[in-house]
Amino acid sequence: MIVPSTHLFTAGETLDDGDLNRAIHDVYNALQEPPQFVLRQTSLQSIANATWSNMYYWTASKNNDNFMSYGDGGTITIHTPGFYQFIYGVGYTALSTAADTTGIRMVALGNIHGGGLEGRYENRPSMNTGWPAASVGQPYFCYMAEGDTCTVKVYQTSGVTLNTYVASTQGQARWSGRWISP
Amino acid sequence: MSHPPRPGWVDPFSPHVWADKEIPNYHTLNLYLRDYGDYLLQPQMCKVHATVAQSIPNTTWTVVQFGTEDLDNNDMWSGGGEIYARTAGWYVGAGSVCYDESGSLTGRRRQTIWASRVNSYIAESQDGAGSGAVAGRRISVSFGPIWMNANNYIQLRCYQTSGAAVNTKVGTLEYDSDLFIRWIGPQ
Repeated sequence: MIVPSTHLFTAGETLDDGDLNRAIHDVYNALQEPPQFVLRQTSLQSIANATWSNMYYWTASKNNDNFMSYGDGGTITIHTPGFYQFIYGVGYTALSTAADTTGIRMVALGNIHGGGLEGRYENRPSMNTGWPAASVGQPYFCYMAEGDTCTVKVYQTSGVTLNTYVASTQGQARWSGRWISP
Repeated sequence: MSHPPRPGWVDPFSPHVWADKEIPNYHTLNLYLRDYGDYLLQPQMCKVHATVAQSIPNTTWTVVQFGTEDLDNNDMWSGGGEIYARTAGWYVGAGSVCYDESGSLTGRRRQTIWASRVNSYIAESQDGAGSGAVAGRRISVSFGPIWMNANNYIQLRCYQTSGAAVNTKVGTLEYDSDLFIRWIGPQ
């Protein structure tokens, strides 16, 4: 998707319908619907203990700039450069054991700008055994160049492998991103 | 307006009403179409992050200090812990504090967004201390929409009860405490 630039009108310039559409219509159209994606994980994923793992997503309610092809799993590719705001989180299915209340739960953006982690956030585990850990969306704002890729990565230290929570739609892990500005 | 706009920007409160038989010229097309479009394409935004570890005293609210800007398109930050709105309007954003947990693993951690217009905090997050599995523990707080008048500011403040001073952790974007705000509308 190309987000158009505004047109600088000059003295004596002759305008036709094409010029006005490019200068006005296309710009405001882009503002109404900028590049945006909303992904959701609908199949559970096993997350090993104390290991950074890539999150995988299977459903998109929005993906208007070809951010992801599902064969790629959990990696998005940026086609429109600019500042983006991402929101991401994960929840885990309770085991009804001490693992539910042990350790920490972290999320971060990985492989971003071809490098390491950014926007790493940490949450506590469940307060009680048998309670699924809440999925808390964390916001992160950054510049993404054309061709940059990005993955959501998670890390948990319960002592055992945990499954992500997918039992109800509202609890499924989501990852969204929206172009804000060039 | 209490603060002059940047060159090419117009007051978003005053969109032009075209009069009957008014003939636009290149100047008015630029002023009333191009400049508004530019403003909407690049709303006022600012993101800063910390570059120097900061000591957070025990049981003392502390303003997080930032060292560099990732984005500041309307002179909203000039060092320190405050980000200023330069145009009145609704704003959203988020901040995060990264605590160096290598030596202090007790107590609570609180993060708030302080808004000068109301002289109070308008968002807060709380959590317990880390488990020691990782050295840097980053906790976020989101806010908005909030109303800000021109030259109102926000701060990211934190409070911890470990029993001793705790440093923030800096070094990479994985850890650095940060604060971000953007204008979303005039009314």
